[in-house]
Amino acid sequence: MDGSIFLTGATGFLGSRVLTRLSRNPQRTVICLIRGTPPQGQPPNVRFVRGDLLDPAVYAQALAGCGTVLHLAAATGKNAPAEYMRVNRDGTKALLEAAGRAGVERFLFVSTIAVKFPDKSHYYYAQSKQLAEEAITQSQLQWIVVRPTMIFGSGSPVLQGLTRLATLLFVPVFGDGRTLVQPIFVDDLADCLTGMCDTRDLDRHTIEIGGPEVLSIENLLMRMRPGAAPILHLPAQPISASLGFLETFLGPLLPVTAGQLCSFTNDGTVAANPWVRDRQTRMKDIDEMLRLSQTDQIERECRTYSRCLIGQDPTGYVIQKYRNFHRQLENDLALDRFDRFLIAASARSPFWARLADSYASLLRKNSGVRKKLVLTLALLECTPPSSEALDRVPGGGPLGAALRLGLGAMQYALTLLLAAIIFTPARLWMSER
Amino acid sequence: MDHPIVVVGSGASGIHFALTALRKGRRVLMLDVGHKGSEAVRPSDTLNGLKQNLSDPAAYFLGTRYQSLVLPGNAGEYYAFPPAKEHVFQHRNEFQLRSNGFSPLYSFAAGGLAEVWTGGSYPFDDGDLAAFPFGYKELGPYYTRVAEQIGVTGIEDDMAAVFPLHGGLLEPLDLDEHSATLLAAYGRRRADLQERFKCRMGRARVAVLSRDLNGRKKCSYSGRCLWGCPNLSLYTPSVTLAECREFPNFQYCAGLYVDHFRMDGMGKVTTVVAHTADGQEREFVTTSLVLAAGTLCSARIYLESIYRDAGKVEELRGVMDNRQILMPFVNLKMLGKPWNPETYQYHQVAMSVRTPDTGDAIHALITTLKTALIHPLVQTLPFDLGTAASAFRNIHGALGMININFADHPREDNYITLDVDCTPHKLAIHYRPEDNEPQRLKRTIADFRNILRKLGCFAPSRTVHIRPMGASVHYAGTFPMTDTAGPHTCTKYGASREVQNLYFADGSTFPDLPAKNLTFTLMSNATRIAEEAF
Repeated sequence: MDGSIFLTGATGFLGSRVLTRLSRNPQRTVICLIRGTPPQGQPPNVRFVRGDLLDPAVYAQALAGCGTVLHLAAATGKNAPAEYMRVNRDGTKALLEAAGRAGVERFLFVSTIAVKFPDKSHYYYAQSKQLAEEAITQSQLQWIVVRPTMIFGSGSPVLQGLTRLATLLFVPVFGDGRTLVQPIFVDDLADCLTGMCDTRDLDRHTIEIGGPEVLSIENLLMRMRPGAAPILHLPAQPISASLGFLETFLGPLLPVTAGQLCSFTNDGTVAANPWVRDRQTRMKDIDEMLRLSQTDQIERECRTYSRCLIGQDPTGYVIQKYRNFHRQLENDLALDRFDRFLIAASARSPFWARLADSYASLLRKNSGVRKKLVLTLALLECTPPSSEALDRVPGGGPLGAALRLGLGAMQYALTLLLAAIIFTPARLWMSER
Repeated sequence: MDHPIVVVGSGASGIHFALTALRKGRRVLMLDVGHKGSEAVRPSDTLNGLKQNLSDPAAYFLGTRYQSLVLPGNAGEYYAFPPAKEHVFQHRNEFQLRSNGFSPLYSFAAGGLAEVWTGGSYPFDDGDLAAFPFGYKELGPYYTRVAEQIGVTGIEDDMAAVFPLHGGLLEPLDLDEHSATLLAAYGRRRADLQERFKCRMGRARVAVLSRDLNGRKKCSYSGRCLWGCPNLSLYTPSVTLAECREFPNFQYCAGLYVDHFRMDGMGKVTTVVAHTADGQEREFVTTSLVLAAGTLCSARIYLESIYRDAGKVEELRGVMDNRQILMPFVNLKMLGKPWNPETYQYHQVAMSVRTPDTGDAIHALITTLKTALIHPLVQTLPFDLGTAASAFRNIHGALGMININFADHPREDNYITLDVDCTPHKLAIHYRPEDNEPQRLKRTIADFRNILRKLGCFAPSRTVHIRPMGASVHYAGTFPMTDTAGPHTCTKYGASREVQNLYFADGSTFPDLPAKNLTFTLMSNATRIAEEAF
């Protein structure tokens, strides 16, 4: 068997950690299919091929020398249903077929525990992963399908979503809160995936992987919160249905998606498996996971602002420079009380960042939140892949651009209205005190 | 042995004076502060290559102290000044000034202010030279000579009516798509634009090589122009400084700040006094002193010398500068279109408009914005930054900037003098624009917005930026060349009428300031003075 591994999703939250582990073995070549620019400072046994999953001609040659495909790339977060299908179902099929043609022996696919949720009606991500799994399990290759539970770690999108809920004045719990979860730490999962590349015992198996602790979602939210807080139980079904409807029109504006709410109503625990059980004893428990996942305020700001500006996480370099600026020049920002309030609100999520900055754009032009967003933008434009994201022209010519500008203006007007309602009383209250 | 000609300053004027004198076999001693920048990093990389390959790209683009970061509240200009060119404006403590109505920039760099110019090389025509003691016929051959020396691109088009066609022009650079769209739109509306606004458009004349010349490589379209051309295709005076240093009759003394000159009892310059960085005084004997330190610094040396010699505080009247307006615009035809970063980044299109009230030609340069840092611009869009960043991606290829330049004329109440009530003495600049300037600017802004509309472009009025006086760095007029004698004037050969053996070879000598960028004329005039007077 050729030891070379073809890895997709290598620049992502999980993939970057898997790449680090795989590349530690200098005898093993790792070829990564990426869309943007290769990350800096990689060892010589790592190679990059730039291209799209759906364009196998670009990577067919690179596949030819590989024994294993480790397929992590996926559309996640907020996307249109068609985009999930395009990337997760069709992209996987394209890669699978190309791997078959190239004589690849094994195909390791990272799916999601949500595939086994009984109710996935608005969870298009899980639906698309299920269809991809079906294609893989029917193929002639030696395959392993891995279904991780919710993945925690610094930069974890699901953890960020839950943290936002857990730090509200009232902690909203959709449904009765007794749904079970079994989070896994990202580094532990990356270790498992690396281990799977070196064993044949799991071939043609679907493996569910979770961390060592099972607990209720309400309990998890409580453990994430520093102090006690009242819980607000909300009916899951009607909220999920209305979100499903609203997503069609207001997708990017909504703080959560109907799909994400599925974790509140479907148990996300794993079926027993001796290979996983052996490893669980060495995995991080919840408290350790939360401690290690904690990002400080500065990093949280930088991550949120980057996602607000370009819809992507910043690279470690950008975070380091953002931190460095604060170390050197934070006093130059001259923040007053309301500034600090706006910044704290904006760091909660890209949506809140947009809300706070919409307010600032009209009513407080030189506010700290705007300065920090401009700083983030300046750093993002200095280095790929974010510089490429900022330079990318959406296409569609003058008409497409005009339409997008019109829509952007409308969205801005709505956000501004909402922001004025939220922040004006806060500002008045603070100026009185 | 004869003492050398002492030239103060290595900028556009000084260096071309020196090169000509050296070629004539004269001995030249150049005194210069001569701050230097660092070598170009990774010269074969494109701009995106730099972003990819530098280990700390933010330090390169924003500066290690984030000094090129433009945050809300201190946004004045649309371009952040690149850290790699910071040495150009590095100060010397001995040079202090106070100014009224004027925000001057000055440089102590080797190569002077033209180290950060944008290459615009526009010959003055007879109209521009009306107040000069010579016409285009006399200056034209020097334009040719300098063009052959530094490499200037240009063709014969509608602008030839305002840019005389001297010799030595290279074929133009590849035109970027946006600039081509603008010129095509002009082609369609030419008659209307010429009739209504006396507006002409055509290819810019720029000092950038479209083919290899004198050991320099042609433009590689790396897109790095704004951060300093990495292979010297865009001419800067330091190229000629390096060439001068090859001459055995040339001596270059850097690290010296010239403070004043001394005269004998007959009013003749005998020595030049300069300070080293650690405050030591050095004195140089000269047969002729050529001040080419730039209008402000040359004035400072002159005023200090007269004060030391006679205890007199002089006033140098008639200082001028080009008022500039920056007008960003969006070309509707280019909306949503991709743009190529690997193109020439400074202006490729020039424009001339003649105002009905004064008859002055207004000179405008159009830059299509491609690789400039985007954060200074994105924050000016009327949205939150998230919306603004995605909106910007749609308009990036459609963005342009017109830099509108106005002529200036000498006026008695604009003057430079020396404030001797403090130590070190301060250069004091008093400047007041013409009374009717606000109306004139308003009318011109309206005209240009209309012209742009006819070209299919939209210029939002709230983004128009009137730059403060002094921002153009085109200072002139303190020792005008005149045919007839007058206080603080010089002959057509730059010779002072008050001090023997003293010459001016920089912008001080301009009796008038046309709207066109003066740098090319500075070089040509200094060449003329050296050729004809030395």
